[in-house]
Amino acid sequence: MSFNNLTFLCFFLPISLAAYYLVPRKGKNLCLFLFSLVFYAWGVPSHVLLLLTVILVDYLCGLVISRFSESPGKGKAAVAVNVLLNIGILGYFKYTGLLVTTLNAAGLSLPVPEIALPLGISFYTFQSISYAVDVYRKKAPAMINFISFASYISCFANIVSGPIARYELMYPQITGRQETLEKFARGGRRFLTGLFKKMLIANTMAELAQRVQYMDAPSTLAAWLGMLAFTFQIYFDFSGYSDMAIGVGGMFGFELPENFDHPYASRSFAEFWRRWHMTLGRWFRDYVYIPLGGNRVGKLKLIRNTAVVWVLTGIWHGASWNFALWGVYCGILIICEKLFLQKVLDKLPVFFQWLYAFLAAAVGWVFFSYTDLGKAGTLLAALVGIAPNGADSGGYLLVTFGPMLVVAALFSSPLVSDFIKKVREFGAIAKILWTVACGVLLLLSIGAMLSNAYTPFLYANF
Amino acid sequence: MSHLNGKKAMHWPKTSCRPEDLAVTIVLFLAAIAGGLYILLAPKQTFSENENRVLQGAPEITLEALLKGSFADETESFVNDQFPLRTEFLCLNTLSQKAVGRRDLGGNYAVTPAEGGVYFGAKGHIYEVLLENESGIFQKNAQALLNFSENAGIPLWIMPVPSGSQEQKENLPLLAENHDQREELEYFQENAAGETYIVDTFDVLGSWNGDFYYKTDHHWNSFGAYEGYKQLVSEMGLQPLPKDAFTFRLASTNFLGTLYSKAVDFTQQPDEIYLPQLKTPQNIVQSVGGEEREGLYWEEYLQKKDQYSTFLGGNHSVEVVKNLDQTNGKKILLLKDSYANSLVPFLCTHFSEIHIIDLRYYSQNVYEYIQENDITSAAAVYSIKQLCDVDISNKLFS
Repeated sequence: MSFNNLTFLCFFLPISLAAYYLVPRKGKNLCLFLFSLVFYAWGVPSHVLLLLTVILVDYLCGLVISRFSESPGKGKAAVAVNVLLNIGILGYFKYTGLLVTTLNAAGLSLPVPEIALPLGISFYTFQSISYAVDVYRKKAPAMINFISFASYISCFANIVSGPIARYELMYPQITGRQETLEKFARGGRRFLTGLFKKMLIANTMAELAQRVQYMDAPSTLAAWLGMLAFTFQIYFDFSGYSDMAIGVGGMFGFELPENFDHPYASRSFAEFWRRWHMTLGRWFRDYVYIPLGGNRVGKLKLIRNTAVVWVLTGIWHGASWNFALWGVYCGILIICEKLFLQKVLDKLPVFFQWLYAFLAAAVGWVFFSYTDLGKAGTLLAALVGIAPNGADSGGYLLVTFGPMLVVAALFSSPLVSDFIKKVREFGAIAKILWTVACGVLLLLSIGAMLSNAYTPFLYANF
Repeated sequence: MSHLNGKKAMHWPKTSCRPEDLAVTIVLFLAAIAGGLYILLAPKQTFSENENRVLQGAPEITLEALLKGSFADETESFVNDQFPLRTEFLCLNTLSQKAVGRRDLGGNYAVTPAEGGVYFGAKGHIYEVLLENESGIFQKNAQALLNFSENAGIPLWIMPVPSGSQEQKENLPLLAENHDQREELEYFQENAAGETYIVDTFDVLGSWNGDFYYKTDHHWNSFGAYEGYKQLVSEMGLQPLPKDAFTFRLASTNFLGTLYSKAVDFTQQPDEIYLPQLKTPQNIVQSVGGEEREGLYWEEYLQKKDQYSTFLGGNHSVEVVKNLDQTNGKKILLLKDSYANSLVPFLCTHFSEIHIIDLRYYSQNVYEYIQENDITSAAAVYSIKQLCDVDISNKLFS
C-alpha cells in the first residue's frame, strides 16, 4: 500500500489509529506490527514471508550478538553473519537480474530470472544491519521482546521508503514512546504537507519529465525543462513521501528522523548530500565510511573510502548501471570538493556557489533518471546546445508547465516554507486562513488522486 | 490523548499543541472518515458514463483473492470508483490544472507509444493531441487498404478524415505541437494504384469554411459529414445533393463527447447534435443483427451520454442500409469507423444498399462477403487517428 492512496487515507489510517489507541499499552507494538503486516502484504502478499524471515533471523542474531557482548571476536562474527545474510537477501532480490544480464552481455547466455523486488527491501535490510551493528557497538541493547523488534523492522510508517531509522535512535521509542496530542496534530499536518508535495507538485513535474524522457532528440530548451522537472519531481516525490512517513509515525507517537533539509539551497555538492536523503547518508557514514577509517586517514585512503561509499550509494538506488555511474559522478564531485574544489568555491560569490551545487545535483539526476545511457548522453549534449535533430518542443512545454515549474522552484527553496511558518505565527486570522488553505489543497489532492487512480512512488521501486 | 488535558501549555510551552496543526489534522480525518463512511454506506454506483466502463463494486473476500493480491487491487478500485462526489473532484482537478496554466490534460508518456491526451483549445474546443506515428500500425492498415481493390476486384475510394486539431490549428494552445496528418494522406496518395482512389477532405474541412467538428467529441459534426459526403460522391462520379436538400434538425443541445471525458469540466459548453433529413423523405431501412429498423437515427441515445451513437446506433460488425426509394440497384461496401456513421444519412440517398462493415468487430472474410452480396464498389471512410491507433489490416488479408 502507499500513502497517497484513498484506501490508505479513508480506511487503513483511521482504522489502524483507532485500534492502536484503543488497545492497552502492552498491546500497542503488537497492534502496530499486525497492521504493518497487512500494509506490507497489501500488494504482494507472498513477500510477507520474506519480511517475517528477515525479522526472525535478525532477532536471533541480535540475541546472539548481545550474548557474546563480552567476547568481541564471537560478537563480530555474529554481526558479520547478520550483515552477510541481509546483504545476501538484498543482493539476491535486487541485483540477480542485473548480474545475469551483465554476464550475458559479456558473452554468456544464462536465463534471466524474473525476481520481483519486495517492497521496501532496500530500506528494511539497512535497518536490520543498523540493529546488529548498534547492538554490537552497545549503542542500544538487543530487543528481547520479539514483537517489539518486529514492530521496529516492519513499522508501516517507514518500511516502504524510509526514513531509515537507526536502531540506536528507535530503541527508546519502541520500548517506551509517549503518544501525545501534540505529536498527533503535528503528524497530521506533516502528512498533509507530504500529500500536497506528492499529489500537487511531484506528479505534475513527473509528467513534464516523462515527456522529455520520451523524446528521442530533445531541443536545448526541452532538455533543460526535462532536467529541471526531474530535479523537482524527485525532490517533491521523495521528500513528500518522507513527510508523510514522519507524519504517520508522529500520529503513532514516533519521532522519525528528518530526511530532507532544503537540499537545493545548498552551496556545495557535499552540503547537498548532507541535506538530501539525510538518513541514508547518515547510515553510510556510520556503517561504511567510519568503519573504513573515515576522514582521519591519508589522502589516498580518503579517496578510497569516499569512492567506496559513493559507488555503493549509487547501486543501492537501483539495479542498473546508470545508478552506479551516478554514484561515481557523485563520488568524483565530492572527492574534488574535498581535495581542492571547496577552496575555489569559497572564493566565489554565494550565487555562484549555489548555482554550481544546484546544477551538479540536477546533472546528476540525468544519469539517475535515464537507464539508457545513450539517451542520457543525447540529453546532456542538448543541454549545452548540441541538439542537431532537436525537435522544437520546448516552447509549448514552457507554456503549459512553466507556472508549475516556478511553483516547484519556489517551494523547494527555504523562502516559501519560512514565509508559511511566519504566516502561521501571525495571529488567529492567519491561522484560520492557513487551515482553510490546507483544506482546499486537500480537496485538490483528492481530485488528483482520483484522476490518476494510481501513481506509484518513484522510491518505492528501490 | 486525554492524559494531556491536565498538562497545559504552562508546563511545556515549546511542545504544546499548535491549534492550527490540530485544526488541519481534524480536517484531514473528517474528510477521510466521511469519505470512508460514504463509500461503505451510500448506494453503489455501477457505471461511469464518462469513462464508459463498469465501476468496481464491493470486492469479495476470498482466500484466493487475498493470497493473489487481487483483493487489494479490487479494494483500491472500489474506493476510487465509489468515492463521494467523484465526478466533482475530477472536475476540480481539471479546473485546477487549467488554473495553473496547463493547456493539455490526460496524456501518458510513461507508455510506448505515448498517449497524447487533449488540448484545451480556443472557442470552447477540446482537441485530440496528435503524436507522431511510432507504432507502424498506420503503414499496415494503409497497405492493407491499398491492396484491397486488387484483392476484391472492385474499385475502392479511400477517404482518410483528418482530426479537428489538424483542421483547426489556429485554435490550439500557443506553440502547441501536433503531428501533421497530411503525412498519412500523402502516403495514401503516393501509393494508390489501379482502381484505388484517395478522397482528400483536408481542404473542405478546413476551419475557414466553418466549424466541422464537435467541441467536446473527436468526431466531425453533421456539417463536416456533409462536406465529406460531397467530396466522396463527387470523386465517385456522382452528383452530390446540395446542402439545402436537407434539413438539419437540432436534436440535442447537451452533448458532451469523448474528449470531454478526458477532461471533465462542468464549465464546458456542451455540443449540439443536428440530424440531417432529406426534405423529400425516402424510405430508409437499417438491418442489423437480423432486425430491421426504419430510419437511421436511434434517438434513444440522445438521453444517454454517448449521443453520437444516435447515428446508426453506434458501431456494429456488419449492417445493411437499404434505400427502398432508390431503384438504381447499386450496392456499395462501406469499410469504416464511427466517422462514417454520421455520413451514411447522406450517402444512402445514392445507393439501393450500403453494406457497412466495421473491421474492428467483423470476423468473417470480407472478400467472400463481397461475392455473396454482388457488391460492385467500395469505400473506406476512416479517421486518420483511428488508422494510426487500431490495427485492422489482418481482417483484410485475402
